[in-house]
Amino acid sequence: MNKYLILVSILLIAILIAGCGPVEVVPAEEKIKIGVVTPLTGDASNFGEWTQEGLELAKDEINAKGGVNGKQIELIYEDGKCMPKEALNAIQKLITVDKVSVVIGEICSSATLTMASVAEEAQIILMSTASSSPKITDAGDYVFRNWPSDIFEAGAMAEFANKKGYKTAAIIYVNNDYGLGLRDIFNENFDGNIVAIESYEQESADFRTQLTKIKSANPDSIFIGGYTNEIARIVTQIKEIGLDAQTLSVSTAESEEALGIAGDALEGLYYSSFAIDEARGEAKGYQERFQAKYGKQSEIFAATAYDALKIIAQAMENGIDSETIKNALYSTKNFPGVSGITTFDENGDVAKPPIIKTVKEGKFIKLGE
Amino acid sequence: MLEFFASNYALNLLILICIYVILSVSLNLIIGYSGMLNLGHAAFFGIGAYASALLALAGYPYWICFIAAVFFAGLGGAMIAYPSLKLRGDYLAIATLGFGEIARAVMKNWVSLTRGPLGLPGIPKISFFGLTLTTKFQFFIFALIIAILVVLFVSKIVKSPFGRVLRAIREDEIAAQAIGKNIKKYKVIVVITGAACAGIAGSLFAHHITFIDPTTFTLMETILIVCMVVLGGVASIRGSVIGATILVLLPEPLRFLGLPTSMAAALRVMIYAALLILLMIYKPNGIFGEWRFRHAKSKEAL
Repeated sequence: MNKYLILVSILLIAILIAGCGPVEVVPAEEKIKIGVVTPLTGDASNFGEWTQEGLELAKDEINAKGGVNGKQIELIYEDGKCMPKEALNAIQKLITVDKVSVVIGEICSSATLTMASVAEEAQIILMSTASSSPKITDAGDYVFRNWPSDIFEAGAMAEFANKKGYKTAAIIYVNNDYGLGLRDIFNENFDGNIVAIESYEQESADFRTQLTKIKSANPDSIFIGGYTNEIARIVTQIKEIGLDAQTLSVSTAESEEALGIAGDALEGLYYSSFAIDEARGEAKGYQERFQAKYGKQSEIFAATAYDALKIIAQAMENGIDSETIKNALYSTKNFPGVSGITTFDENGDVAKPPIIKTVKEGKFIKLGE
Repeated sequence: MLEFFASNYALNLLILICIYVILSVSLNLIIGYSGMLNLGHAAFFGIGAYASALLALAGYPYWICFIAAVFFAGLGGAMIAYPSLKLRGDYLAIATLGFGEIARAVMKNWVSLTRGPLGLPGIPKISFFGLTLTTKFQFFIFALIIAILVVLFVSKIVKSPFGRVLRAIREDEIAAQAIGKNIKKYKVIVVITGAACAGIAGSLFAHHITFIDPTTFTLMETILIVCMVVLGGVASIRGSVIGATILVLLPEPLRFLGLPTSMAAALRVMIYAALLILLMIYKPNGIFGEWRFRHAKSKEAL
């Protein structure tokens, strides 16, 4: 028995020593380290992959231009798995071992909120590129995000629906923090009657039960608050069961993947978005550069990540301690990003002017163009 | 080196080890010593976490939250123990699995109480009798004390006459009944005790992570705890402690292998899985399981 105990103790000590080795080995290099916590494995890993694509493109462009004040940027990725516990381990590792002063991540609001308390305590900048929970607004001084709160997206859609004069609306939403946020904001801001509210579980494929219920309520419009693949399947099934109502959704609808699933059914969908916009400054030719590097079009998640790193790099020009970066971020005004003109408010929330877009002949276009 | 052990990263892992030691030891009490395959342990963990977090957010002092976590998790244990008394083996596993899912569904859909999928952010720091655990080091010491108490408590149980009856029930229920033991009573008590201990872990977890939502308390979490028990060795307290320690620490050194970024995360998960499989191939009874097994056999032979 003692043999095993000794064996196990040696194994554990070896693990711990291996764990802290790099702390002593790696000298202070002429590189700026930025930590990234994003879901690289697990259910949400496609979001993580998109984020990584955007970040890598931005990093290459910044470094090719000589980096930040002559220092190259190095990104250190840790897997947050979209889970609070994993994200917590990851950010603690980044702060302790890599001594980063900026962490980019997570996608899921739950993981971001968990990391926010750590970032706040350690006085480290935390920049989420996709978390939309309204709770993040007051998560802390050091917490920023380059994705608008649900309030903007769903609010813009409700306003649009009011303008269009829809008398009634139904809501179908994914039963998680994202869907609930969208549901509540749309519900509050829509002037007409909400005649049906139905929820579904994430990763569902069949929505006919909910849609049939909605059909019997006979609404003018249906607001879909969910993720790309589910929106695509919902619009397909809306057509299938012959539900005749205008479909409304949010920025997650804009994806080549959605077009692949839904095809024609996506036509005529209205969605609010701050989506990819290449009109200004460095954003020009973004899709082309993205295409050249990855051989596909950029998703919105890659665009917000790309912008986030560019904004952080700009903020680092005056100094790379977190206090300086924080102040620089708060004074970032009208940054000409790919994901829209970006300004941070006093809560570290981003205000991106939402636009209404639609799908026409397999293309995502701005309404009125 | 010392600096590393005092860092929040290391302390965070040590706290998680304490939490998972409590979970695996308490599950081992149910699975290992009593032979009831319980796949709903994460539910008790979650109930404890929610009970403690909700009361703490409502402004109650920590000792009340702690007691509530133990009480409600124990209540959850009673809720599954009574209806499933007659079930054994696979059937019990399915019943407890169902209970775990029900508990998760309640956490997710009772929005007015638990805020559902939005989760509970900003769970306050532990403070009792005018003492607040502000640093992670203080929290670790607290968690360590609790974990040691739980381990001592469970090993006391399994070494007592009560524990011997549990093992008798595990080996042969009818024989145990034949010598006049009320096996129903024993089973209910052991499930409630295990569940209450998991509730303690839940309370520590909620205040450590400071954010809980239903996605933390899924079947995968139960499977992780079962892995800890099986890896360490079924019916071995020492094994559970080691199993929990290994499974919490194992993914961490893999962060430092310097793998290429594009596949580091995927490789990390694959290496983790491969190590688990290797351990199970070469030590199928768990690290301490084999010894325990032989030891028990030789005693019987005597």
